[in-house]
Amino acid sequence: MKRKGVRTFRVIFLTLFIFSLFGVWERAGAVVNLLDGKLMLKGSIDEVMILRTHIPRQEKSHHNSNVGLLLTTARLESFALLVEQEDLKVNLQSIFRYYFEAITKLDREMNAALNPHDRNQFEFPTYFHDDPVNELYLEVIKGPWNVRLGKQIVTWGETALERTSDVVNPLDLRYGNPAMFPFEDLKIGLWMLRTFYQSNLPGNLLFETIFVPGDHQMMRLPIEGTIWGPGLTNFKDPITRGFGNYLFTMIQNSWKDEAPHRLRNIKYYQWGMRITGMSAGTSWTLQYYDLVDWLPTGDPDKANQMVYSMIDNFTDYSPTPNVPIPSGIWKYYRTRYVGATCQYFEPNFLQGIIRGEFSWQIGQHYNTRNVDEKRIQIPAWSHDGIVVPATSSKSNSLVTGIVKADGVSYGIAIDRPVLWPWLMQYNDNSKLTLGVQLLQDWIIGHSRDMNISGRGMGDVCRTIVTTNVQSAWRRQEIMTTFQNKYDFTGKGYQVFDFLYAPGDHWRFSWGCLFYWTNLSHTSYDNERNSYDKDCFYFKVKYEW
Amino acid sequence: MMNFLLKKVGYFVLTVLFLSLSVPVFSETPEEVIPPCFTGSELAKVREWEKTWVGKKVGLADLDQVKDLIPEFLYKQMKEPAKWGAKELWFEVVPYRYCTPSKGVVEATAKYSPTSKFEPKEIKTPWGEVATNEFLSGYLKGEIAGYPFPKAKSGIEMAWNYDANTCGDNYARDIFGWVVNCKTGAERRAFQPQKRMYWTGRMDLPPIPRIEPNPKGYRRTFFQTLIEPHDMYGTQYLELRYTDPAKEDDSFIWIAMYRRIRRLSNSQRDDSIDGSDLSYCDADGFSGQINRNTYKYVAVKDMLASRHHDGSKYTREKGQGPWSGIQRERCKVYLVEMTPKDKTSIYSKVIWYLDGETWQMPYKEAWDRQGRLWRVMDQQMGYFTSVKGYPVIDVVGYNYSDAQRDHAGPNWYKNPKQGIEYDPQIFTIQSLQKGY
Repeated sequence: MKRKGVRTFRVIFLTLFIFSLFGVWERAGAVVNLLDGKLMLKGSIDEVMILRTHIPRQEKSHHNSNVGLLLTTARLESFALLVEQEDLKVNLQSIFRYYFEAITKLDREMNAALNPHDRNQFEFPTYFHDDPVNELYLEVIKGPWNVRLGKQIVTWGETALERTSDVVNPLDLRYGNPAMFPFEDLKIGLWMLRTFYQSNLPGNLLFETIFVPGDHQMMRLPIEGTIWGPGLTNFKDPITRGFGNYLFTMIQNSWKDEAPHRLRNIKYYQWGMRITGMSAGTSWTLQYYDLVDWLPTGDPDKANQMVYSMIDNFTDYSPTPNVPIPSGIWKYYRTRYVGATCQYFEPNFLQGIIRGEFSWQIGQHYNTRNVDEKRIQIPAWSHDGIVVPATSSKSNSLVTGIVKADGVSYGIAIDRPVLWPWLMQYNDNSKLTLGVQLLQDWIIGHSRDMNISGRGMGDVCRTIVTTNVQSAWRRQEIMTTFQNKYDFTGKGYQVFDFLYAPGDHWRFSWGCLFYWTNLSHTSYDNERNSYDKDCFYFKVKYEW
Repeated sequence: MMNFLLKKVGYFVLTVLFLSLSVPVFSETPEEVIPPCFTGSELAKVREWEKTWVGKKVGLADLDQVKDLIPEFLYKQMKEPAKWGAKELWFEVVPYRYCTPSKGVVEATAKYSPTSKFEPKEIKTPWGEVATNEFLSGYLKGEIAGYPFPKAKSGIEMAWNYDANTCGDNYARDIFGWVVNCKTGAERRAFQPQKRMYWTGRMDLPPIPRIEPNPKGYRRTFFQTLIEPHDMYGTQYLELRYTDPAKEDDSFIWIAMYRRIRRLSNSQRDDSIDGSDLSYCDADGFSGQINRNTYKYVAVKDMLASRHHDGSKYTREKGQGPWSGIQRERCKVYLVEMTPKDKTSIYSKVIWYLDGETWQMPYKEAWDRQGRLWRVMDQQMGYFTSVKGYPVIDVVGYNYSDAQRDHAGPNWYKNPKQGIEYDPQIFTIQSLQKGY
């Protein structure tokens, strides 16, 4: 029934999409205007191909080609003016997005290597809580009030490439990352009620509130074996290459299985508020957000039972076949953020824009790991009639507990247009836009056994510097962008992007993305999390 | 004796009453307040010339005969239409007509211009200095309106006259245009609804001469939405200009794609708008603070400029850069050389061609930092009736041409509504992210 519903939706979406492509045009090449301009349709279709420059030797047998991603996306945006009176305006805005990923079908080796269930869900927006509705909300504007009800994407931050105070929507990192796409293309919409009140107070204060009634969305991490995910782990039986869940996939699936059911339990509500104002030439915001974590924390005993089960299932030395994974491992805890942002134009020395954001995260839960390799007792458990006796291990993958800690982070970005005469003679006298960002975050009360994503053990603080250089050429027919990210924990990347936009509709983009790390190249583990992501990418887009 | 004296006093009072009642009859006419381009023998000469030329479509065949009445770049452009993507470029000659200003413009100019003067002291600003006798007295607090120097003699006086134009005080209009690569014929369309409100120097739409309260000291606020090009759809731009020359413009842009409000630095006003040949400070000729530049009066000359253009007369083929079909009339223009004080400005020098009646800018030439002619603007003015019924002289459309790279951008302001009333809340940062 659900399959039929999905199929039906696909048909409706495609019909609307094709109609808007070839429907009644108000003017050739324009946004499609219908019903006397009360309904505007706009859309695009694009193809992204990512060509990997390097596949680790251990994975080569699982690929027929170096193509890492072949993603076709159709997007349809609509804006309908439902009511327009003197003091009242009601709009319905929507963005639908449907995609198909082809390389997992075209590359036979990759097709065989991926778990079929996960592969199918990677190909279409059918994973867990995915659906083709990117955003869909009703907007009512009456006097100083603006109320938006529906699925929305919210932007609260100022900095790019990393987020500190932009905490409302989780990200979908399966097909892209901030190096290649802006955050807004990666965010997952949430069903929420969002209200704005424009006051007449000094500073033109704008009050904003958000209430999400239990629409919890898990962060979508890359799928194991795909371009952005961890490389494929060794099979238990290298000859038969029997299919099954893999380590990272297994963990993700258990996160998913134990995630809060969407919109069914009000106790997973989220809410926040923000005040925006302008004072002394500075536009600023203050914000507070209370949310349920996008990723869970594990119960130590059960997490260790899972680790034992995974090690056993994926190695060839266990006496017990198919050790079951326990249930009830994961819990999505609540956390809170207090934050602020600002934007200021400094006219004297810098003659550029300074943007800043600050965030204090209250009560984030972390697991602690067995970094000292002490012997940890793993209690017995049973599942589906299989009983697994108690055991113990010194593995440093085991979990020793859960801690709660606050985090503080800030980001400063400076953007400044500059004049380079030797360049300007070639780019229509356009200015070059230079941007530099510094981001830092600390865990308060950090201990070296805390398991924190994106950091090495013992990293109390993380420091990242990013630079961005952009220039337009031939009256913005061509845009070139160079980005560099340096993470002081010993990794980073560079991206170069070339965009060609002739005329009204076609957009062509080429680019390359190269990672680096201080870790040794000789280790497969290091390789599969950095150099195997190096790539060239190509995008073709048609917009109307 | 007493009766005689009483009679004398009575006659005197009656005479005074009669004179005061008749003052409106003998008050200044618009032509007396804002002199026309041509009068007397000059006008007769123009009319004589018009007998040959009015109604003619001037193209390649007879362009040389009017060479002295059009700027050199325009002449060369029309001589080489193929270079600009056209088979032929032509315009129509129409008779000269006095641009009768509205009652509000006449009254404001008559009231305030006799006492117009400049501030005798310097003003230090973060970007440089406003020298003595450069800043208009009364401008800071919005105490003046109308053309401060209707019989201007110097470049700075002419520049302030230009700044005094409020084009109906408030307006809404849609700008349609193309960015055309004349070599390849590729075009990119732009469609941007605009709203603008003047807070000071108001002449026609109450409150006159300024909106109160105005605690921030706005001179002008401007709001624009980008509908096309498609990848910029939903982007909105807000500009807040202040009367105080020490205060930089505040400009903000809501980029729909990123859902972020971005502040723009003042130097970004030199950037081109969406890849066109127009930068933010070029809008309507010049859209910046007057005191950011120095001005030198160069010359006065007769020119075929567009002053009563009907937008429906524009024609162009696909791939054609400049408009054809422009209606031009012979008039007097004042050439003013503008030099930016900011050494990092993209222009080293700009020549403004200012209409002697309307102080609008029908033509402009700009040189790059290497001293080469770069951008040329050919702007068409028209005569509108505001939503409140008073006449407004405002921009109908324009061509922007890049003399170095042979590309152009024809633009047309459609659906103009001058004199429309606004809630000032539209011109706030927060309104940038409301539904479009």
